[in-house]
Formats: sequence, structure tokens, C-alpha cells
Amino acid sequence: MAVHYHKSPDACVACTTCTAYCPVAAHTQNYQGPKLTAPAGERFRLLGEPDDSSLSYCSNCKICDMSCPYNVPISVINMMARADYCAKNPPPLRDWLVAHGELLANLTSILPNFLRNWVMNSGFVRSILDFMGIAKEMPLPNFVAKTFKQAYKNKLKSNKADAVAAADINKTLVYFPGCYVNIYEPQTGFDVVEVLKQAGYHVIVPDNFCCCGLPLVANGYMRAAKHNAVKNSAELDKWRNEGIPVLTSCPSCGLMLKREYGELFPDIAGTEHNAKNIYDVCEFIGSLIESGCWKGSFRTDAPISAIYHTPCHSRVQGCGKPGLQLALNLPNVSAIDADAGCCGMSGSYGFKKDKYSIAMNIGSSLFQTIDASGAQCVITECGICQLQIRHGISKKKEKRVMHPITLLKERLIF
Amino acid sequence: MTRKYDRVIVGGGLAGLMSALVAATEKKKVALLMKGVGSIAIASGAIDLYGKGVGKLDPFKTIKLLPKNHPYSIVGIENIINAIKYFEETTARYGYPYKSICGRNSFIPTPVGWLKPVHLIPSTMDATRLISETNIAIVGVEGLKDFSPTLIHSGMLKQMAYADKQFLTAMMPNPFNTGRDTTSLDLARYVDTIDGMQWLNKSLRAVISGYKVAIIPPILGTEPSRYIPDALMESVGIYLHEMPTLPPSVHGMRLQKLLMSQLNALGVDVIENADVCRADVSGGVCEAIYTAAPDVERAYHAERFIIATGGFLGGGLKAGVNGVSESIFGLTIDAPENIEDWSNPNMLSSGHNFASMGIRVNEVLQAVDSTNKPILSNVHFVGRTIGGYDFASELSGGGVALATAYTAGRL
Repeated sequence: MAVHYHKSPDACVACTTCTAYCPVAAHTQNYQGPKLTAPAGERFRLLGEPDDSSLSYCSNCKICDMSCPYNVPISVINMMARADYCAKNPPPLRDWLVAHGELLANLTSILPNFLRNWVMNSGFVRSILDFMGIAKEMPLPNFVAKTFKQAYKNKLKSNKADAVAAADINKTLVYFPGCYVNIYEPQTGFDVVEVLKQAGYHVIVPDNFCCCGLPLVANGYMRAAKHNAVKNSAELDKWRNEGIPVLTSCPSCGLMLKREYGELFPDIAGTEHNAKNIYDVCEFIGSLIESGCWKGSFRTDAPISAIYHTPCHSRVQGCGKPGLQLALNLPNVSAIDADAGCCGMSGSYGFKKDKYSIAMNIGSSLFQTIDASGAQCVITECGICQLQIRHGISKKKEKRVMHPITLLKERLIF
Repeated sequence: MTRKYDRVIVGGGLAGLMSALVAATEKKKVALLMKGVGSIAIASGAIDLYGKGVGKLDPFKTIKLLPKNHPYSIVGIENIINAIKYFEETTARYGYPYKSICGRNSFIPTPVGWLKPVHLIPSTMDATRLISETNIAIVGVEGLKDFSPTLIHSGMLKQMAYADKQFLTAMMPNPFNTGRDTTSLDLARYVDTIDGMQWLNKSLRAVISGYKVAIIPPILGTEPSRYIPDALMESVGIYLHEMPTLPPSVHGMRLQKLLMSQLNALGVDVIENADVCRADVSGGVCEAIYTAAPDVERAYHAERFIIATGGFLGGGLKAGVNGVSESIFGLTIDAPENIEDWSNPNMLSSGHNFASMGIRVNEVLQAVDSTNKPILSNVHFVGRTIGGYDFASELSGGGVALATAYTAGRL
């Protein structure tokens, strides 16, 4: 049976560079590697002779796309093939669970928060989850009682001054918090808002944004992902038409909104225009500082040392390391680049029991680099990378792991 | 989005990395824009200098006689020597020294048993250690393609230097019992682990008793370090010669890791997946170059730009029906009017015109027009972007990359 999509595999010259740089292929012989699974495998799929045994190993980190000298959309070919496979062979409940974090948070929000976190982390539930294929060694992030969106709305209600400031359209920004900030790590969201406020901006967090859809794509739920893409694109259209920029703090959300919507769902109109209205918050603040438009001042006391990890989904965006640049601009903050490759987690990948040890092995070089660095804190933009780093680094040395914007906020003088 | 630097280098191959390293050593604020990962991972990991004609033995003899428009003649012998010295010192400081054998070429055997003249080699590619022995073991790994001891053996026997040697060909068991085809890189990664070290130690001992040297695939770990090679050689008691194999190149990836790690230590801002799409030029000066992405164009300003985008394969040069041009600034490249004259009908001959097409440069590596007037005062071209040499037939690619990058990096 022929497949319904077609991304041409024929630009591939089989140089094997992608497989040489693939973090997963480096740690398991069971993965055929990006070259054989994506472009070479595609030829067999087009003939109706698929070998899908290797597809589940791709973590969608996208290092292959970046290493390819001929711009073959390797990871997109993999994800589309996986979606096609999953449409015919429904994935296990485990994959549904790890792909639908936002929905799970909504469904369980009727429970008191302490109760649902206690239940989720209880030995009993973790054993059931482990049986279903969610590695019990990997800590689940805790839900928060109020999502970032709810909490921010309440805060705005109680603060009239912010509402007045909203009148100036040139000083208004839209923030796309993403699921991780919204349901697990709202403090990062508040730090983003606070820093932008210091820069003179009022921040809108629209209700209508939903999960960017990347976890759905990575687990083969392409239709559900498209549903989210359509919903988010309508909201992005609206802000673009109003001339208000949209900011993301999570590199994976940013990548999805800017690049993947267009690649995966070419029939959604306007994605290429929306991409030009979306900014990474670190890059945004960084350019304010570099162009002299930043008015806030920073602490010059209490020196602090930080080590920076570049999330893979930041690397592929071709924007360099905005989080590191930001930290390097702060007085009395010394920042170094870990430059030790992927953390291994890749969204939901490292939660999967059959992938957990691969993920930990991929991350081991990063963990060792961080442990050996002597830095006081770790900064990285991606919430899932933060989770994995906390899990992987030595527990003996108390190192905070946070978003670069959180570090910046803590260095601000109010 | 605008960023300012002293030097912006475009290209992540050997010439790009070397330019960035030299400029950063000169205390410049440097950005390195990379698209892809460069060609180091598919190259042999040895640095050739000049390997044709009399240059086969002593490259410097030939280099002195090269025509004026050859990149070596343009940068001059002093820059070539200093570039080599700089490279040797940098790699030695890192603990993975590259050296030449007494300033001459050495001849490393290849997987078909041919001898390739190269100049700078890491410690596990020293062919003089093979020549000095009468008995040489060639040890492969079961299931490892592209390294066939029998093929290497039959090829080497045809070489005068090895015709009277006694060879042993042997195979070690494959340590992986499942999964995909094994590559040298897979084995090198395995040898990075304690289990892998033990596997290699045990397997080697089982096949090479009585021999003092062995040719093996490049599997002595992935780190640019002498730790694993030295530990194994000491334990097994023989010299292990790592033969470069087909890509992925373990030697090349070690060298890349070494250079990238030095760039990180020197604070070079490495921008990956940077797709340079255009440049702002006014009055013969480049103000900025821009990278394209689905979101915004990013501008990189610098005092000087070093272009190491490679040739036709790397994307630095573009050929079309209207001729040949350079890909960022659109500079016109000299090429015969009739496209049929670009190549030689005899495919394996060394006289292809396209192979030496490239930018015409002056001694500071600025592109020049037909009257030798610089076209862009603050843009310098290095490596394969430059014309006037044919790296494939001369075996000079590595040397030209280092020498031109060193020259441009110090400007």
C-alpha cells in the first residue's frame, strides 16, 4: 500500500554523516540510524515494503537534519512515516499518555493538586505505569495547582496598572508559554513576564493557545497534532494581523511554531508569515541589550558561575546560543558552554522504559561535563532538558537547573 | 537581529575551523557560522600537503616550483610552514599530536592496499613503524565492511616497500550480536567503554602473538587522546596502526572534536545550521552577512569576513548554464565558455578544469578582478573556495586549507 505523504528522499547521497552524528545511533546498535530509516527506508515504504522496526528509535532531536549536507528533511520523513505506521497500528496506551500531558493535566485537575501528584508518584501508580512502559526510574514532573495561564490571569485581575499599560500596542507582546511552563514550571513563565515588564512591555497570554503539538508528532498522533496546529495558527494569525510579536521560551515550541507547522502541515495557510512574527525570548531580550534599548540594571555583587546546555531544538534553529549570550552579558556572571551534546531526554522519549537507558547513556557526557565544571548553576532553555539534567547530574553537589531568563531575573535590580 | 564581531567565519570544514581558531588565538571576537558539519568527518583525518610528482617524497621541493596562481605560491612558504607548526602545536597541546615524519610525506596504506602520501598524521598512523618490521599483521573485525585484511594484503604486496614483508591476516569476533551493520565508528565507541577495551585487548592477543605491529581499522576510541591507544599498545605489547577507512571517519571526527573543543575554550560563538543567504556590500566593503531561517534573518557584522564555504561539493561554488559563481557574494569564477571543456572525457584523468575552478585571490586572500584589483576589501577566501589548484590530483587539500586559513586568521 502506498503512503499518503511524500518528502523526497532522493536528495540523499548516502554519505552517512547523519548516522555518524545521531545521538541514538551512537548508543544502540538496534537503531538502523537516520540514513537507513528515513531516506533509504522511504524508498521501501513508497514501494509498499516497509521495515518499520527501527522507526520507534528516532527521538526526533533533529541533529540529523542539521548535519545533512543536502538538506534532506530526515526527521520529518521519520515522523511522517511513524504517523503513517501508527495510523495503521495503534500505538500502546503508554504512548498516548506521554503524548497528551496537557490533556492529562486538564482531566486530572478536578482532583486536589497534592492528591494527584501524590497519586502519580506513589509506588503503586509508578509500578502500574512501569508495567505499561513508563520507566519508574525517571521522575515525573509535578503538576502545579494553578496553571501558569490561570495564575497569570488572576494576577492581572488584581493589578490594574498592568491592564492600563496594555493600551500601548507598541509595548505589548504575546507570550506562548508551552505545556511545560503552563502545567509544571509556571515560575519560568512569571520570570519571563517580569523580565519583559522590566523592559517596558505588557504581556498577553492568550487562552486559546494549546500545546504546540510536538509531543503528539513524536508519538505518531499526527491528526491530533494538526488539530492543535490549526488552533494555534488561527491565534498566531490574529496577533500577526494586530502587529504584536509572539514570544516563546521553550525551544521545542518555538521550533514547532516557526518551522515544523510549515513542514508538516503545508496546507495550513499563513504558517510562513506567522514564523516571522515569533521570537525566542532570550534572543529578544539579548537584542534589546545589544542595541542599547534595555533600561534595567543588573546586580554587580554576588558573583555566580553558570554552565549552559544548548537544547538540540535550539541548535537546529540556526540562532546560535541565545541563552548563553544572555548570561555572558550579565555583570559578574561567568558562563561556560557545556558543549557536550544531547541530554537524551527528547521530550517523551526518555520516559519510555525501553528507551530510558538509551536516553541516560546519551546524556551521560553532558552530566559528567556539568559535574566536573564546578559551576553553581545550570542554565538551559528547555524544560525537559532541565528535568533530565536534574535527574542525571550528581546529587551530592546542589546545583540549580533553570531557564536563562530565571537567572537574568534574579540578577535584576528592581 | 544583529550581532557584531571582529571576525565572522563561514564554513565548518577544516579551513573554517582553523581560521576561527587562529583568529580567536589572536584575541579576536569570533563567530563561526556552520551549515552541516563540514567534511572533516568524511575525510581521512590525515593532513596531506602535496603528493604529486617529486612532491610525493618531499612536498616542499615541489611547492617551491608551483605556478604563481597556486594558493601555496600566493600565501608563500613561510605561511605554510607556520600553519603546519601552529597545527602541530595546537594538537600537541590538546594531547593528540599530529606530526610529519622529518618534514617529509609518509605513505599510509589504504583499505585497497594503495599507499597514500600524507604529511601530518596522528601517532597511530605512523607507517614507518610498519616499514621497519618484516612481519605485519592485518587484523579486521567480522562483519566490518570496508576493511578486508585479504584485500589490503594483496594490494600491499604490489607495493615495493611491502613486497618482501610477511603478512598475517586475521579476524577478530564482532562484539555486537544484534542490530545494524557494524562501522569503525561503532567499534571505536565500544572501545571507549571498559567492556570494549577488554574485548579489543583479548581479541588482539588471541590473533597476533609473535607480531610487533598490526594494521587495524580506526577503532581505538573516539576521543582525540592518546590514552586508549597508548594503554592498549602497552598492554598488548605491539604497535597498532589505525588505517583510515570509508566514512564515517573516526580519525576525522576526533580531529573535529579537538578543534571544536578548542574553539569552545577560546569563546568562539559557533552558530550551527546557519544558512548564509546574502551579504550587504557597499563601496567594496562587506557590512554584514545574513542567515536565513523560517523566522527572522539574522545579521552578522564584522570587521573582516573569512569565507570557507568549500567548492562545488561544499556549496561555496555554484555551476549553472550561465557559468560558475561564488555562492554568497555572487562573484564570477573564470570558466571556459563551452561547458564541455569544464571536464575531461577521460573521467579518471587528473586534468579536469572544474577541479581547479575557484576564486582568484591576492596574497591577503581577497578576491581580485582581472586587473588584480581587490573586489571586497574585508572579505578573505580560504580553502577550496580558492581556484588555481586541484586538491584531488595534487593531494593538497588539507595543506591548502591550513595554510590559507592561517594566513587569513592572522589578518
